[in-house]
Amino acid sequence: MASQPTFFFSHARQDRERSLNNYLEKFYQDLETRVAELEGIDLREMSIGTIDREISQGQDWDRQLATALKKNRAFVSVFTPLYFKRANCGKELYVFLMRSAGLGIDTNGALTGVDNVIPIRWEIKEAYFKNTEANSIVPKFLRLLNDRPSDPGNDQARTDAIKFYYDRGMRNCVTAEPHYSILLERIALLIRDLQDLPEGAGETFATAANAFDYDWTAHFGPQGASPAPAPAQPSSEQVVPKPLSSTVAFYVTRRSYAVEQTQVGFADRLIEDADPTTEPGLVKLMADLREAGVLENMHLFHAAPEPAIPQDAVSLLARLKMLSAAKVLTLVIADSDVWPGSGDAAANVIETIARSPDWTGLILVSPVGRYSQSIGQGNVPPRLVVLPQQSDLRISAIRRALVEIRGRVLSASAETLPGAEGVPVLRGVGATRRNGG
Amino acid sequence: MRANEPGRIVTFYSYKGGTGRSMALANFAWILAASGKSVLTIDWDLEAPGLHRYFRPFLIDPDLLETDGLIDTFWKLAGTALESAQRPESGADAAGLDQTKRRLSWKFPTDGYIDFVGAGRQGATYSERVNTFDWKRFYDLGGAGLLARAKEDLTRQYDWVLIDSRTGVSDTSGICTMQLPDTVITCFTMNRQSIDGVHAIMQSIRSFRSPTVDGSAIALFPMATRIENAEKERLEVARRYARDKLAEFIPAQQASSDKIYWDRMEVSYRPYYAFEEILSAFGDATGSARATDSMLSQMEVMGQSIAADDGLRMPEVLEQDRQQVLTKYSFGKSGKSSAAVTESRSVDTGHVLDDGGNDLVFLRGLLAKEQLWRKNNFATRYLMSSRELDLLTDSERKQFGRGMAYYLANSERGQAYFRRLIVAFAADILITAAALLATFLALMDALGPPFSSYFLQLLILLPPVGLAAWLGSSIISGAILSLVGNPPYGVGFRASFMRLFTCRVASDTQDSEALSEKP
Repeated sequence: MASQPTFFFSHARQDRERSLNNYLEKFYQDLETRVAELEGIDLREMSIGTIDREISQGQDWDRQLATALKKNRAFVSVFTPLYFKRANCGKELYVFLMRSAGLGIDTNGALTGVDNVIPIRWEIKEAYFKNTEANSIVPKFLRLLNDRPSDPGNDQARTDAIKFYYDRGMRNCVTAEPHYSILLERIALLIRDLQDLPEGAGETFATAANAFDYDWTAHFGPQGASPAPAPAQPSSEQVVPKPLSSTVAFYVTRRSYAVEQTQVGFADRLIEDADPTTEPGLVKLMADLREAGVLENMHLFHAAPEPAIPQDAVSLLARLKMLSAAKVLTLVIADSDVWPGSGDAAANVIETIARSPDWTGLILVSPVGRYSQSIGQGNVPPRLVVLPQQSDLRISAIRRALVEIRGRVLSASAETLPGAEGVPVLRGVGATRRNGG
Repeated sequence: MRANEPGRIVTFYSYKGGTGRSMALANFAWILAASGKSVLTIDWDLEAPGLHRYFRPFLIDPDLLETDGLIDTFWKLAGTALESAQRPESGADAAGLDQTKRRLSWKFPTDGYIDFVGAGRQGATYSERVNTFDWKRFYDLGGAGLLARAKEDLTRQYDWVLIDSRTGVSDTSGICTMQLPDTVITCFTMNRQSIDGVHAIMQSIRSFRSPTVDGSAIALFPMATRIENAEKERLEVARRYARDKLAEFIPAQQASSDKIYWDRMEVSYRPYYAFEEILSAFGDATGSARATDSMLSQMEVMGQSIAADDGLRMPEVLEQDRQQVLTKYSFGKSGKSSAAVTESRSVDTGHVLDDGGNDLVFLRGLLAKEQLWRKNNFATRYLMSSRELDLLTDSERKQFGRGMAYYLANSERGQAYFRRLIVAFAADILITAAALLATFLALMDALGPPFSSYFLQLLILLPPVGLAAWLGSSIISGAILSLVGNPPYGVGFRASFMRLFTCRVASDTQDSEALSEKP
């Protein structure tokens, strides 16, 4: 049989199910249609895309998925923060990667010879940032993937479309014409023009490793590293907080963090995500914060004060003031073992900060101790938001907090453009009568 | 992409809610797109967004739960403004107001389309996002300048930008009625509060944008909505009050007769449309049962007045497609299942046979052709081919609506006309030839031998005799032609002449499948 431009559409099912996510479904269908058009395939006779849908369960379906993974030409992988955390997605990727004959690894730990994996950036670009480092939540071994369709550069509309896609993610591109048609065509052409891979043999889905956890360096051994000089990391973009669209969250906690090496002026220490094995609760909280940020189109930075448990309010307050002056949103997340132990020095520090009028932001606390019954009630100090423990409720609470701070920051801004016009005001009935019409 | 002429920005405003403002806007957008215009619709009623409900069947995310919108763009703009206020050298580029646009998934037969910008992503924090936006601060930071740039950008990209404004006298209603548009439609219902309200508003707009101040006049179109004929006398009183009070605002070019203006800008109350937000192209059957007094026809007339183009028409919709769209409108079916997405794909591209075995693609193609025919001022080349006329079944003929039936009749008349034209022309030639032969024979008979001199005589006589014969036979065949009726719309002298020489009866476009969308 002649080779066909078949592709496996790999995504975190939860991404499709959590919300209505019609956009993901629509994108899959449009992509399949476009590839079929380019290749002259009648989709009523054969399908060329495979997607794991909730409606098709069972043994047969599993076998079909496995077959598709072993035979398909391309692997379209929908990058979302959740995607990199799903074991199933990791296994799909692993089975597919193992088919690449030219698979290798460069000295930066990024795989080479993975042209048939086509990443789709689904969310806004901030969703892939970790603190000041762009695209850092994409696992290291996938960093060599070209995450934007190539741009030969002689077509302004195409350049605009690719820029829009990089900034806003494919979710915001679906049916946003003229960008969407251009992007669909670029991606469909990419799939059409790929070389076929040899059919997979040994790996089955059951025995496959999770590509995201897998030690790729060990897999190739020390001699496996590509002899070719490692290309530069695709993005070494440094991101700084911007007014109204960035939030710096300070975690006041007795836990210890891995501190990031990046030197930036706005926070004492930017911190890495917590370790999922030892602190699953904190990992979840950080992920919820980041997700709330994505939903509100904001970029979140994780930071910790120095020292980790402030002895007095001076240094943390100075940071908060500086950020507020720059119109960057701020949050203080007080851990349950630091707050609300009244009388405790750390708790007093946080109370001082809560009362200070010099910064614009909110303090988030867990519903424990004094505030265990306080969710949604009025008996909490001002500026204090008690976070629910259930993830979806917590995300909503954080989103509300972010929006509230942003509103306050805008209202409190004192800058005025010279010669700025005022808001045009409509006058209602009677307004003109006084001065005679 | 577009011709260089800048597009128009039209704001639909009402002093009170519930006047059918969004409905008028959505229908107007539909009519414009159907006639080949690029249209952007913006839901600026941030406090009570509702425009998306009219476009529900054509949106991938009909409840806007994961679609950003206008308020999200404004927050981005505010961030840009603050950034450039802090560091003027940063040169942050401002976002256009169409950042979050989505195209409606409906294929208009012309090149027209509708892009839609919703109010904002609905859900947990929507109201906070709207309520915390400080418009005064935004303007202090140079919001007016950013909007002026956005306006320029929009009018370059689109033929028409339609804005659904907030009611009342809030900050946002001021911006989208006074600063942005060049035309404002003010909807009012027949009660004093509503009439006095729009009167004050229109005065306010006019004084803000008076031609002497900033040189850009603004066109105002008062429009009466929810007219109920139940209380005839009281309606007449209110009507008189409204027409007198608002007379000064009727646009100058329309004022040939105030009465005509007002009659065209009245929309009746129809309970069917009060329960669900449905576009009249789908709410009113376009079939033969369609009454002339319907929401659809009123929307057409309203649109024609605003756009000053009597050629604007609501497009015909195939009954099968209409039913499919209606189920997506109805309560309870939110269209969120993947089945609905698949279904919508079949609307776009499917080769589907309906229950009666009709080829839907063929029928859609005919509707598209009819739209082009009218849009191009009844060009003959868009009439149906004889093959298409043959393929049409009686049930389809019955199903077609007013415009389509008219088109069909013209296609049939067109072909009959061409057939007769060719017959008449052939007869003409024959009669002329016969007359010439007769003259020749008569000459031979009269002069007798020697025959060699006849040719000379003939050469001298031929022009006058030939001409006379031609004229005579033309009069005869012209009489035949006048018996067979007038040429249909779009058939001019040139078209007829070309047909004669090519001897073709059918339309130039052989059938709807070969139809080009760009004439």
